[in-house]
Amino acid sequence: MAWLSKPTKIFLALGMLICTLLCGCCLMLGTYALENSYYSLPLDTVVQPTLNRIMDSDVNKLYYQISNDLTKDNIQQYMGENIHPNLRFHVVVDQKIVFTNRNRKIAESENTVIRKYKFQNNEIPVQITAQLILPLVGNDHYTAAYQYVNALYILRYVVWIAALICGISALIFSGLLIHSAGHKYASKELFCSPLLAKMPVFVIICAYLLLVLSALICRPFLNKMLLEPYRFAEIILGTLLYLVTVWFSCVLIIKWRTRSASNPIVHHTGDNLSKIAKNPATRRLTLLWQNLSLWKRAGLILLLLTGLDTGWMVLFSSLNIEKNTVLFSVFCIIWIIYKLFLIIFFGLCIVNMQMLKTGALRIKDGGIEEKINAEDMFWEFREHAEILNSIGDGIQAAVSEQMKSERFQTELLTNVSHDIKTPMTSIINYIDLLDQLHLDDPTAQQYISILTKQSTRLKKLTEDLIEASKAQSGNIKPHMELLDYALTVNQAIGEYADRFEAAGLQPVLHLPPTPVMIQADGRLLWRVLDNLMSNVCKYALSGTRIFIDLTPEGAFSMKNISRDELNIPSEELAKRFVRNDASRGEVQGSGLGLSIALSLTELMNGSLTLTIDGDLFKAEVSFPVLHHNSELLSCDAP
Amino acid sequence: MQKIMICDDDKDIVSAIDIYLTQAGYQTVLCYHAAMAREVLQNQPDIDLILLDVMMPGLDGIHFTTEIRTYSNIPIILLTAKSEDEDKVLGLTVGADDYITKPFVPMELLARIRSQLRRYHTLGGVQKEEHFLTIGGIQMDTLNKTVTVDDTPVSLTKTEYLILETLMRAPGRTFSPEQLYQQLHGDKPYAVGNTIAVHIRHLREKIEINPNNPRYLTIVWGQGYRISDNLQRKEG
Repeated sequence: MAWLSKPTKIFLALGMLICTLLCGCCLMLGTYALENSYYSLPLDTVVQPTLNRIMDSDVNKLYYQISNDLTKDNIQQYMGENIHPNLRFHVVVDQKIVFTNRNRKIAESENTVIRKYKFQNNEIPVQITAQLILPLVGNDHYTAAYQYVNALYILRYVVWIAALICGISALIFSGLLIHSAGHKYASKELFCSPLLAKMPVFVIICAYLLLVLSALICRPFLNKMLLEPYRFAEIILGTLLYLVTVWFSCVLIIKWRTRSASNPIVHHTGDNLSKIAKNPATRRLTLLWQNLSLWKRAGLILLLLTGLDTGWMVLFSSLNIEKNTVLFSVFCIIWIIYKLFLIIFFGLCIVNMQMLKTGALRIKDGGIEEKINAEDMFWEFREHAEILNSIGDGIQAAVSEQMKSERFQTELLTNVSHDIKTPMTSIINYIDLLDQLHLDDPTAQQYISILTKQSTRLKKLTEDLIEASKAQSGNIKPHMELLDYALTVNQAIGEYADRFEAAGLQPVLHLPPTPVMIQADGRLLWRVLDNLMSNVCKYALSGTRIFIDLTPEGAFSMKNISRDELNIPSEELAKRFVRNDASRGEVQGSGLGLSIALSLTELMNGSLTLTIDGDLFKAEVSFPVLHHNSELLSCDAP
Repeated sequence: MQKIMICDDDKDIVSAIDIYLTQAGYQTVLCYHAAMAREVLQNQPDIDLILLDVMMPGLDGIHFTTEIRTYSNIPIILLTAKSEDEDKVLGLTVGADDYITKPFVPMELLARIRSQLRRYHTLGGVQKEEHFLTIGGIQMDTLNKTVTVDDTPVSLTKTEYLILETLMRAPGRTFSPEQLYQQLHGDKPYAVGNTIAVHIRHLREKIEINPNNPRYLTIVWGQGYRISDNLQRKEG
């Protein structure tokens, strides 16, 4: 659409004004016709009330003219003045016709209107009978009135059509004006005066409501001033209000279209409120308020609002204000404004809550980067938004801290393990080479023997330590799968059968013949059993039995008699670097075996418990059994 | 005399291995990083085996192995401090023939070198007849019921032989103890217990260089036993 040039805009504005006025007038005429039954009665009936009114006023005027002097002479004088050719009257005082402005008597006949009036003049009854004969002749105000009514009667339908056309035109003109609001003449550029930019929307809306209020207040006054039945007041006020509405709409549209940081829509209500909040008296009140619980606060607010409403109602009814008075209009306006305010406040609260909810959902889903725009919110909601934002920051910081720490740990493990193993390899190799030299010196040989033993121990210790760290720090990711616990135990026993025999130990087995299906990592489970069985080989008393049991509920246990006294409580034994001090045998273990076994078991969601009863040592490893009767997954029938 | 190249960034380890190999009668070439090794390989085409460290500065052992494999089928044994299973699998997948973790037992190193050399040289001479089953260095004559590992004959009991044959006929497949039992005795397995497990252990002790770190016969814990199927090296 071509943007409007200056002459076009002026034309449109004028057109809008004229059409509105015309529309108002036509509406007024139309409603007048409606009220006076122009659409249901013939012309002669319709014209009566108007004529009657004129007649009434004329008769009243006549009476006050002659009431001072009712003597015949005076009246005779009056007879000369005959202003209204259509009006005939005779005056009766004390039942005697005193005078008349016609020669013959007033008598009923067709097409006449006769009205009788009674007056009281100093306790003398005066009766005036007036008559109008139709059709009217002459050029007095009766004929004028008749012509007006006649005209309206003829046009009684036309006025409505005219009102419609004018109304639509006015709307079209105003629509075009609003549409091009804010654009500079004949261009696409938007323009907003600096004053308008600074003015808050709130102020604009208040100004508008004030104008409406004043219009409503003025209405009764205007009505009194102008001819009331013709409602000129309504027409003028209505037109003015419409124009004002159009103008304010343009203003708001301009503000909306040119909105920017320097021209915001929601004008820092939060800032103003916070200024009030800094006041010390407000501070004390705020403190009091914040000490109340949420329910008490809500209750107080509800009480306050109910009190306001009830008080208003009581005031209203007790004052007994009549309708159509200024006070009534004022009360109504205040009531409406108050309700509007509540509604707007409520609406803003809902919008803010929605924004908070969206933000919180985002944080929950991990979108910590994007922040809630706390600037657009007010009061408690802004605080809430800021709190949520800082929670998001906290989470982000914690997450990156965690990731850094994990990365560091992994790097540490990898590097340290390599950096330790490399020199250790050299140590072991060269000690072995020394050994191979077969030196004659027995002292040298002794030293070499010690070196060999200790370096081997160091190697084992390092390997165990690295494994324990990995298991503890969760760097091992178990590949959980469905496997048969009973089968695993059998396989482990198979591996250790020879070693048990070599150590003089006799295994006694109680294993179920059917599979015991559990979820575990096969290799890790073997390491746990390996650890336990290796311990048995090292520390069990030779010549005794080992009791190995597995229940269908997934509880594995291995019991053996210890060669040396176990003076450590069982909880301590599983801790790192704890070995049985009383152990007299070759120093073989690193002290980490049970700790590793414990970590690995727990990694697979199982449980490892050690029990010591005198010399009896019992290790239990349990896993929850899956009640599936599924066959082993990867075996094919041969 | 066979020539072996040793490539590791730690000079002390290299010289220690050098002493071992020379004592065992091999000729050695020493390198300290991949670039040097590359040059050596180009100038000396008669190298029989490479001992390669994984964690070297510059080009690491894994990548270097991939590079070598584009033009040569020479046996490669990886030496490394990384002992995770994933690392082993990676090394073997890119084309290495064996994997030893540091710190290592010198005897085991020598045994593995011997095994690889034998395999490489007798590959051409492997009988391709039907009654021969070959996996890696294990060769089974099903007609005569004999087994050699790297040309060294191994004496197995009847049970051990039957188990090995079953596994070798279906490399890569996991057999449960019940299935193996059935192969042995023909009837339905009953109270198998840990008998099969014990046999497997004995078998491993006989055919593996390091039974605790088996190359061929792996235990699938909770499920059964199998022989790996990716031990055949690509013929050069």
